[in-house]
Amino acid sequence: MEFELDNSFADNLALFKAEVEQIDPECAKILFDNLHLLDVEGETGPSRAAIGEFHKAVLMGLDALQKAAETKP
Amino acid sequence: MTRYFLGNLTIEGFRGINNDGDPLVLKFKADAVNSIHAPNGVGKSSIFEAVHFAIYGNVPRLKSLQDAEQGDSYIVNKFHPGQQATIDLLFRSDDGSPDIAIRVTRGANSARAVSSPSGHPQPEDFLASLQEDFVLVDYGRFAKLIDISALERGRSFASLVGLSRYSRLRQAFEGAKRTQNMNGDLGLSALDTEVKTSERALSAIERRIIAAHDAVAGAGGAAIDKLVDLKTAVTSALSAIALLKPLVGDGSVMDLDFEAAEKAVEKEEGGEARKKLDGLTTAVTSLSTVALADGDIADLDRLIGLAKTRDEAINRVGAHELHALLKDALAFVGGSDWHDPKRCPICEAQGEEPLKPKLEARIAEYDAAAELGAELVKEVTTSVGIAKVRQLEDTAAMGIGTADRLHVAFDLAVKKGEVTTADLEKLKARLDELEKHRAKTLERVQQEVSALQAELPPSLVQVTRTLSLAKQFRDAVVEFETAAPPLTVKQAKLALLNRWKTFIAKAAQTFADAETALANKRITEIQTTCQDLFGRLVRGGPDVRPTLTRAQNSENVDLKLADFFGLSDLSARALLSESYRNAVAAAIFLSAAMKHSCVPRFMVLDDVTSSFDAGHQFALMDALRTQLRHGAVPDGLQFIILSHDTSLEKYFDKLNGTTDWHHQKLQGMPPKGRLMVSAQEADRLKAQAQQHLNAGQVDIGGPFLRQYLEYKLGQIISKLEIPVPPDYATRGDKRTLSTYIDAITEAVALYQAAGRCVLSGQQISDLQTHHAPSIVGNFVSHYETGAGTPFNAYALLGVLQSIDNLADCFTYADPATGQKRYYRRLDRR
Repeated sequence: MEFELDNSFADNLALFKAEVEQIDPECAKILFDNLHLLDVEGETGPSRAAIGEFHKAVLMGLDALQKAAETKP
Repeated sequence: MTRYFLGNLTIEGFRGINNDGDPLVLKFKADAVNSIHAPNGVGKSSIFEAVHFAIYGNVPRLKSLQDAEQGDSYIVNKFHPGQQATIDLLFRSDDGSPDIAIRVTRGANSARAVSSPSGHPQPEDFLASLQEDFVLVDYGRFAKLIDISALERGRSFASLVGLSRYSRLRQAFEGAKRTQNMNGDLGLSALDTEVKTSERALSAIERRIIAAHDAVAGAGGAAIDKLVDLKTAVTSALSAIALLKPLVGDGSVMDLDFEAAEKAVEKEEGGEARKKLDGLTTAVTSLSTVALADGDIADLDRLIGLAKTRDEAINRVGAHELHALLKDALAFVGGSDWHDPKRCPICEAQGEEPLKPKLEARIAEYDAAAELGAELVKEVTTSVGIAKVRQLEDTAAMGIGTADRLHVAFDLAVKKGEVTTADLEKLKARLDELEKHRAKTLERVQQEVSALQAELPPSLVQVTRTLSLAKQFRDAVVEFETAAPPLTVKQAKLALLNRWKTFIAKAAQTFADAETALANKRITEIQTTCQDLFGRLVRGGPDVRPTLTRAQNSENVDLKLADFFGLSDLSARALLSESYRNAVAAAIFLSAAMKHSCVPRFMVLDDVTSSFDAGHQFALMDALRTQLRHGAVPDGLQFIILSHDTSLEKYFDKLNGTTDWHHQKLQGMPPKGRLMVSAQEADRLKAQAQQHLNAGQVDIGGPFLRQYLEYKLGQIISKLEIPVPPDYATRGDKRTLSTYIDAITEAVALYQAAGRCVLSGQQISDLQTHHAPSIVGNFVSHYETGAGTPFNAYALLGVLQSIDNLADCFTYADPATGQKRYYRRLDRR
């Protein structure tokens, strides 16, 4: 996958989403459901606390995934 | 996308700009280079900071102050009576969309507030959309781009070329996939250890079940996944014994009342020998179960290896006390009491580099050694070799007293995090001894069992043994059925976490690869423009062709010189002079800014040419005007230049009024007095003079009149390029009102004599016979000599009128607009 120079950030993010959905669609959903926690405005990348918040959300997503798997007939 | 120029900027009560009730108003043209000149200390930096505060919500210089200095308390001008800073910005669109007006205020004791007088629904978001690296650039930014590390440059560059969100997200993914963060936040490592320990315990239970089953049912090849079959086989074996059959009945071994069964056997033929046999059979089983397995010794060897690596790391970094000393030194150097970052606070030696990074590096070595220690403790906790020592010492049949159990003291030390290499070596030797002791004990117990079996009736011996093994089977199955379900849940969760770990690592790598490729495309896109621009800025000097290179596996951006006097691929940071380094930075910033298509379409440059010589300064200004400006090129930007440089000011003055250039000069006495653009100041001087003279306040109005006259005469000289004596140009004390008027009237007379004067006959006549004599006679001669009768208000109001009339003699009515315009020169419109 390559980002296109003329694409907007949103368009390139859509390319990335399609790519990671091929790796693992369920994990990709968890990632994109919580991407806003990582994609924060600022001069640098997200703080350690922001990563922690993201991981909390990931844990919830994985728990939901586990429960869904357990209830499957 | 609609992009915006900065149209107007109005400031009051902010930093050095007081302007109580009369704000500083700056107007900018979208299609011209806008320059603002002010001498040092007149408030130029406050203008830059005002735009920064409006867009980013902070003032970098204040933000960098220590907390104790209360930087925020300096945002509002200390002398502003209302103690409120107000910044109004008007943004003009480049596609005809409505203009956006934003007002940012901050009280001395209140937070920054943003509103939009033009009704923009989300003014904060609009300001945030202007946060691009190229928008506000000062000398520090230029210098920093070259001198920072390759990684910082890479991130700064990403922001410059509009890839900051990609860079931030890349960093975010790296943070999300970092093992340390995953272990801490998701509990991955802890769960992994827990599952491994539980699996090991369950595996031991499984072996006990299989061993007991095989002994009772006499069958081999039993598998734990067929537990129901195993229970059935053991139940059948018990039912086959006549003495036990009634007790088993239709039930299972799991429901058998073993106490009752034992009593039944005892009743059949009881005695101490049977009980002893029962105990010995149990001992044989337990001793067999704890036999040394493959890998137990190897596991201890591995731990000893880890301990030695840890010891070496600790020896390398030195004593623990030195660690504490370094930490104290770091806290001190980083504190507010220590002002020289290169001086050692302990020995006061002066180094060439700042001390803080060195201290941090040494402390990091200690931390690495400590991490090895923590890792060793973790490994010890889950070690199979140590678990075997524990099992062997705790097995009752081994007969080892509590005081002689080596693992007890060791476990205590582990809890305190104190694992020594010597202890581990002792445990290894101990394991060897224990295995020998176990083998010997097992042999002895088996001999005793054989002897006892020979004494007892064969049938009951076998029954006792079978019953004992069946009980062991039952107990182990109960343990298994209790421990297996929670382990299954944990295993499922661990699998899910590992699945996420694999996914996020792949996703992060995919994003990083794509981001790198995109940055390279963007670098390629600006490289040529950047090199052309740099060549133009340093015209006449060596064109070293600065080249940006992005690393493959990181965000690092290296800055190399493609041609340094015939040598290639050399470090720009190492070789270039300050002026050249800043020319490189300017070329990069400007080339990158031109490629942007984001919301801001303006660039504010604050004293960026400080290190440039005059040639480079003019080359940069010329490039802005002809190559980069909106109006000159389709993708051009609006430039706003703040400068205190006097030679640049002459350049600005020369170009001012052309379609390419809009120059404003600041005058005033901040932080208490007003700061004004000089053109506005002239009107204000006239108004002040009129106000005071009308009130009869000659002493107050006179100086305003003088300043107004000086301004208007200087304006005529400047606009019409009237030649003046050299000492007028070079010596302030020669710039008297008389020399101003003499220069003007003599030049007019000269051009008139040559028959080339552009002024009309009436204008020349009015100038020579009315206005100039009136001003000199009624004001200048008195003011400079103090001779004659004192001024009166009416006479001075007449002089004020004469000043405007005199200025009008040098203007014509523009046929297109009907407005008065100064002649271009004395011989041309």
